[in-house]
Amino acid sequence: MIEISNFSFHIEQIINQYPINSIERQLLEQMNKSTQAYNYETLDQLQFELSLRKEIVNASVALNSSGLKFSTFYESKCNLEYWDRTNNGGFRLKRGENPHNAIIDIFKNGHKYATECATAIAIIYYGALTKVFSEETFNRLFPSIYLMNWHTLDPLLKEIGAPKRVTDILLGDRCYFNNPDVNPQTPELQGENVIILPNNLYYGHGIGISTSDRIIRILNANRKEGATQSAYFIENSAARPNFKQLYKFR
Amino acid sequence: MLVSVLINTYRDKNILPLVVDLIFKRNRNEQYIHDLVWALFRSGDLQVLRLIAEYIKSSDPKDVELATKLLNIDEANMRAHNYDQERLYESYLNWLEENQPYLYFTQESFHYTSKPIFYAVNLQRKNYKKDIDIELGRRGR
Repeated sequence: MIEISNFSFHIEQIINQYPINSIERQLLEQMNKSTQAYNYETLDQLQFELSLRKEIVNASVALNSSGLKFSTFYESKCNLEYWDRTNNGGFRLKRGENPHNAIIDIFKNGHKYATECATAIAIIYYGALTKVFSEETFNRLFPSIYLMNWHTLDPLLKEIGAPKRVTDILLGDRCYFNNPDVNPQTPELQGENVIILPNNLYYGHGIGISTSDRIIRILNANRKEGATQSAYFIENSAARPNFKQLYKFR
Repeated sequence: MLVSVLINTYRDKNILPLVVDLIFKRNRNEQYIHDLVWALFRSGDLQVLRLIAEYIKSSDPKDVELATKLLNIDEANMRAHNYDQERLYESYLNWLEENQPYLYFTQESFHYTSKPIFYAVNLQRKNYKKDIDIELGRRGR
């Protein structure tokens, strides 16, 4: 159910604002049916979350088409026009460069970049935020971006690094496929960080947009000799940005 | 990844101290350590907890920060020991001694979360053991 200012909210009030099969509509229907109470202070706050989740999904699709390559941190690369590659394989925004444009560059010139799946997720969230915030606001909030999986997330995005137990898996959530019997020679395939997309699809950098079965098949193909445990999706666990905190800056 | 193969395929436990030292050295130099940490905890050897705990006493704040992070020693715990590294170390070892039979590795990693809990106490098993001990005590054994 959805509650606004502690009152039960009927989605019929706004659902027709969103096209059939739109991400926002699917979210409203799912949240409405849930046993979990989704609480918001205002309708605008709810609509901000719907909008940002839509942009997270869109950014996933865009990054998938960007040409961004998969690599381990040892072999990562970035466009040195905007980013410095650090000792540990991360990308630090160059001093004086425009953060908004630097993030957009990854989507525009993905072929100039290579990184692993967790960093790609961080890029997606920043990419989504370039759509909901003005350039000025984005640059003010994120003046010095460091892209290195969950290692150095901006405080405003720290929640995307730490999955929690959830009642529902929602579009735009960050989830994880675990591969417990991974081949010791390929630790980068110990799991796959994914963004939840519509139609039971998932975006995971390195695998692309795919079904659960295919992701598991790919991970299972990279297990140690004599493996007995299949890769699996971690149910009821998701990481989400703090939408209410981000809403304050819209 | 050679370390991972040595530890997890050939079960070479002799290199664990070297790997722990390498992790802390690389961390001081801000080099990537996540795969090494992953390989270390996949060994399933509780010895690694004692090896990591040694760094609680380090004079380098980066070592202490990493050691407490890997061992899930939170701020509240450190405050409770007045940030006295020696006391914290001794306290941790005592905790480890008491809980060692019930510990298991969770398979969490930095790949999955920024706050992995690498190991945990099997409370059911621990409480069951306590119940057995109480029962045996009651029977006068």
